[in-house]
Amino acid sequence: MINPFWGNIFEHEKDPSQIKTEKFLLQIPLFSQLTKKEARKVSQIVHERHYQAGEVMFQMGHPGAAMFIIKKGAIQIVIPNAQGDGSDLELATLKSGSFLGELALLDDSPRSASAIVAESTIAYAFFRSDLNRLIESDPAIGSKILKELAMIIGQRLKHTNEQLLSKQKS
Amino acid sequence: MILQAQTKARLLRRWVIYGTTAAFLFVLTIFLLYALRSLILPSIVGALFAYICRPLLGVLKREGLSHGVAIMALFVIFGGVVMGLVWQIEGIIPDEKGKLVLRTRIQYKLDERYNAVLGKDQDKKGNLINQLFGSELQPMMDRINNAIMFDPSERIDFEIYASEEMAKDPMLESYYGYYLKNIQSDQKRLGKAFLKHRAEEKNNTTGVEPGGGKILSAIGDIISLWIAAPFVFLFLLFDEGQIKKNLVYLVPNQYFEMLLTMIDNVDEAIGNYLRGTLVECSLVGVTFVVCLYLIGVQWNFALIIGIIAGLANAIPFLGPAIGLVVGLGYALIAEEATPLIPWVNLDNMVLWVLITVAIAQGLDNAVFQPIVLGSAVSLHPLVVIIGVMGGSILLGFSGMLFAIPAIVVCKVIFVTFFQQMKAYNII
Repeated sequence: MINPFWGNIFEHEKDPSQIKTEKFLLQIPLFSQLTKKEARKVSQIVHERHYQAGEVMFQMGHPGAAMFIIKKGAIQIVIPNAQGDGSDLELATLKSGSFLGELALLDDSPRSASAIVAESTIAYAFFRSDLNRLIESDPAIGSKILKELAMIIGQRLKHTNEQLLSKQKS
Repeated sequence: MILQAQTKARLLRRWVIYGTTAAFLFVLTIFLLYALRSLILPSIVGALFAYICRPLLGVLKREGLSHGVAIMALFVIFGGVVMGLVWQIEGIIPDEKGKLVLRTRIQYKLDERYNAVLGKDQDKKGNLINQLFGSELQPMMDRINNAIMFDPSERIDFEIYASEEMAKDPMLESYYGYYLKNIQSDQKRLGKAFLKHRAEEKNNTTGVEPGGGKILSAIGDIISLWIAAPFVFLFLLFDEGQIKKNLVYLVPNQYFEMLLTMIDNVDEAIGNYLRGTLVECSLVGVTFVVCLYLIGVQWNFALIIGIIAGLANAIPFLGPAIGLVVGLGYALIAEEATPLIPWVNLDNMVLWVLITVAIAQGLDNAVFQPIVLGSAVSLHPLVVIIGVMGGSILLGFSGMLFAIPAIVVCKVIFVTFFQQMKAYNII
């Protein structure tokens, strides 16, 4: 069962694996307010990565430096079992068009969960340092991305509060 | 079982391909570095300027200029400044005849000052300094004189030049007097060895050095090599992350995030250090130019001494000494001075140059370094000394100049590398 907190509420219908990077980025909420030209600039600084099933995208506790956007494939978000007996707690499975690790765009605090590649995946990595440089050189693009990031984090916080409230009531 | 064997085979294949590619690239890089070694320095200078200009590019883009226009504006500004400096420097670099005159003046003035300091100009016994240090200083002075004295063909050239031009340039008459005094002093110093030189001189009738064509081709070679610098500058500024992207594409996913973090940290630390050093050296150079101009050094000479002192300031410990030697060299051979400070004259100019160097170094240590560099990257003094000496042995002056930035780059890379390896639990 997909956890509503991790389930991507912004997921799109289209298969994004066939679309050009800038067009694909415009479908992601974080970049949805950008113009085509601005999205092209962002597409020049994101890193396309190819993962095989079973690979670790990032590990819980490691410092976060980049947000990942899934172009094709699926990623499992898990909390590794401290005893290492393989019974990791699965939080969610994210599919194409979803993004994860967005808090790394703010600071290098440790990752709160691990991301394991569930099937062959193509993902874009968007680094905090690149975002910071973008804010310096193109404040218009930087501020649009930051505004969207603030909204996404706000929405997720609201969602968490609602979950807490419902748990308290029950 | 079959799946396991397949995975193992794939892993082996991957290592063989990665290993072969890495070995091939390593050999190719070494070969290219050796084959194109004369292009390394211009490329480093171009890259350095691009690195320094990157924040300026950001500022221009924030002001609304497009990427291309901002780069071209920077290129024009930088090109203009460099051309202006080259034009100023070119105006005071002497030609072959000017160099002969300069050497005559240097030899004469050095002798004059040396004798004055040791009190030999009034009494052959000299003063206390001569009695205490004369026996150690004299061989050194002889070596300097031997190095700058004319060889027979140069004497012929100078005599022909002086006889032709003396009527047009009255100063040349006094320089000819210096020349005659230098010859007397050379004769006294070398004795029979000088007479041997004179005999050779009489047999030597050509007089003119057949080196014009070689000099022109050398200048051509230098220009064609240094043309690489603006190209490197432009291409690095035009790059918006594609070079980095292509480099990290080959890195395994496991290390990708760590490596990019490392590259960014290194980039930031080195950028801060290099930009800070450039600003610091520029401020030292400007201090030199202003102070020297105030004490009566001609504007264009003050500029060139300021540039040399500023550049040399990048070499710890030795840099201030280079600035001092160049400034003192000018003060020793100066024939006229138009100081803005009333109590400066030719006799005490050496003292004022010393004061200039003291002011520049005082400001550098008390103001420029703490404000501009802060605690960017610190190196142990022993590392600095060995680094500068090693750079000098390997690449001469440019080696001395780039030794410390190169050590700083290596230090930052290693420190960041191990920090990140630990942060990502790799080690």
